[in-house]
Amino acid sequence: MSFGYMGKILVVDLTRQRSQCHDLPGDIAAQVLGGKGLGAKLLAELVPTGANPLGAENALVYATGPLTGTNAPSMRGCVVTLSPLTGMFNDSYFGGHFSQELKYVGYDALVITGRAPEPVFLSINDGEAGFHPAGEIWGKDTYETYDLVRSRLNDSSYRISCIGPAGEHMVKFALVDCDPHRQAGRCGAGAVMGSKNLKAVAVRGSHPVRVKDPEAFKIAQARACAELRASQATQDLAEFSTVSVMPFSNEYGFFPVRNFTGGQYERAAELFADQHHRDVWMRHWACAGCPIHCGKMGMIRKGKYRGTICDNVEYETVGLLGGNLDISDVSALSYFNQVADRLGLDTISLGAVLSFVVEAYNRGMLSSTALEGLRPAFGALDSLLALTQLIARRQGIGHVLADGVRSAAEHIGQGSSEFAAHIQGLETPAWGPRGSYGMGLAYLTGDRGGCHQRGFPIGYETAGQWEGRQLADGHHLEDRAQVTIWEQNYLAALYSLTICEFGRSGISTSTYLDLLLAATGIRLTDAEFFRAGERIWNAIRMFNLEQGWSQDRAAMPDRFREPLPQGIMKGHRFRPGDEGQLLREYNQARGWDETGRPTEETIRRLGLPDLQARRILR
Amino acid sequence: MCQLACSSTKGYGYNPRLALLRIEVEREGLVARPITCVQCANPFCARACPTGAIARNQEGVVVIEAGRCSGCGLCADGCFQRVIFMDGAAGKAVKCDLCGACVEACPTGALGLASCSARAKEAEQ
Repeated sequence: MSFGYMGKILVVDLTRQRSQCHDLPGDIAAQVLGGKGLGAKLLAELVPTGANPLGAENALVYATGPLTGTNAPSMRGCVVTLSPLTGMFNDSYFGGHFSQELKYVGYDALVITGRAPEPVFLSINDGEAGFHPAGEIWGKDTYETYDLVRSRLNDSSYRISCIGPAGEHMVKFALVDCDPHRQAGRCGAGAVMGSKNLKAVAVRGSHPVRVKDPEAFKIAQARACAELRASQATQDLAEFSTVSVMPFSNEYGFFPVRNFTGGQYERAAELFADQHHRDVWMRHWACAGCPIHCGKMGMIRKGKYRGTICDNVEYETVGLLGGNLDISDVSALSYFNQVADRLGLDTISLGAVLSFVVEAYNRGMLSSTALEGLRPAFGALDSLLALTQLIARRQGIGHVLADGVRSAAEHIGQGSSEFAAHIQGLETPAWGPRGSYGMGLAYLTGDRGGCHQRGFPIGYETAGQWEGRQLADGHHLEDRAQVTIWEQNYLAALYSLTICEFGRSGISTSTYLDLLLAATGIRLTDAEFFRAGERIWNAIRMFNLEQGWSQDRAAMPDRFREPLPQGIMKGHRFRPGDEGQLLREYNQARGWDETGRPTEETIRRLGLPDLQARRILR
Repeated sequence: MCQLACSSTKGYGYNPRLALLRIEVEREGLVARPITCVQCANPFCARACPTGAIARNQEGVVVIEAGRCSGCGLCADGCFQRVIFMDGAAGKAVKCDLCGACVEACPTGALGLASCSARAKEAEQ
């Protein structure tokens, strides 16, 4: 019997409509842990060099962690694939219940390969995979899809993961929606699912997850819950959701305003948590096994969209669809967010694409004729909603915009790349990077592009402290490599445990490791845990290099060379040469050469050849 | 968290489907209702049981005596709350015995333990 892990991986071949079960060997599990590490291992085994992300040769992996499905607080699952948006590795995490149910079905990971000849959805009931025609569900939004799949299976207790119209049309920032409407949002995993003609996966399982030492597990679990209760950051999330960080980011000047021209929004207070609480939120909502309840379910109570039942708008969405598009009405924003969720679009990328369109239109680079007669403007929700619909179905200008802001700027030309906010092809999230050299470096070196979740030096720079040492603020270039690498290694290990980063704000490393030990018997020291993260980070860099990544992609758009106009970090910008200095120090500290490639010595030191030689799928 | 505490306390491991209480979710998650055994004054499960395996104990809790349960499932059919479950491995009916593990695990205080003595008195009458 496996403990923590289910010990099995299901590989589904959509081309032949067959499935095969593989064992997850314990020694490999101990190295890759789960989630990110497991997904990276499976992707490296399956996806050939230079693969087309939207071709049958790409794979889509749902990966869980060893603690997923237990009551260890705040565990998640992830979707891992080669991104059509960035051409890089993508691991995208989601809460809710789907990943837990996948374990109850009996699998640590579900691997989707090939491509179905016609639209299908997949059902897995306690291990048995079934293929169902999805012709009449194709075209439906994510909410409708849940209802239709459950009704087809005649069982409302199935947990669903699906795509909306955006995924079907292979919009390169389409998301994978996971029960109940949590999103594996970034880098276009939904487009990969759509390219495979796979509309949905429905799972239902009655197997339990068992832990090796139930008494020790109970004690570690109680400690994790106590640490969460004692954390102010966690309590803020519990009460006010992720929007709780908005006053902080706005004060510093990290908050995106009107296509990242500004960093401090003059109407920020209209988007603070109290406004959502007053006009939309009704109750707290929690993912499976999570005591935090950072989710808020609500109903829009005023205006045009009154009566709409909706989720809370997360901080990133408040940034990218709010300040960045000058939408300051929480009711309108909540509706906008739900439209994107229903269509299956990542709100971060969508916001950056739409703000780019508005600026290009304002500068005369796009005419109203080219925009299907629309006259997009900051703050004009109707025109932005109309553009969103065009993007989701690749209609008219939507076809160009659906490939992301980097590609859209190349298409439009006229120097528009200067204000296309992306780093390594991924649209920039709502954290600077102006005002933080550390965040800039994290974006330049992020394994899935410029993502705020792969390292968050902002937290240490603003606190002035890192690991008990003093750290200079975001205006300074020194020490950024060290802090960023430390964050990346730690998070790579934590994302392989498949944690939620909101749990991380309370739960200590030693508690995470005690949970892992009690659940699985895998005993790791802090140093070994960081080493596991480093190994995974390096393995992914090797994968990205094989898929054609080169360091010239690690550049700041010109928008971030303009001085930050407001906030505590006012005046900060990325000067020519800054990236070069940051990357030189980073590559050196990582044991990589000047082109960003791990040296032979680094590869050997981390045991990567041995890991590569041991295969899960034979 | 209540369901996971329940399934593990009862020795089934972690899976909310193996818990002895349910959560009903309505209106896209706007409403979430925990459904537990309310230790009915007139327990249909006990009336439906053909082997007399279900009875109220001294504390007023309706309990199943595993040795006498034949696994027929009539009690589960009779329960209007749908909180009698069939343990597939053992082939027996199982239900909440008010152990309180779910109450302890609930992070928001939505669950509580109430005394059953009133119910027991009501049942006597």
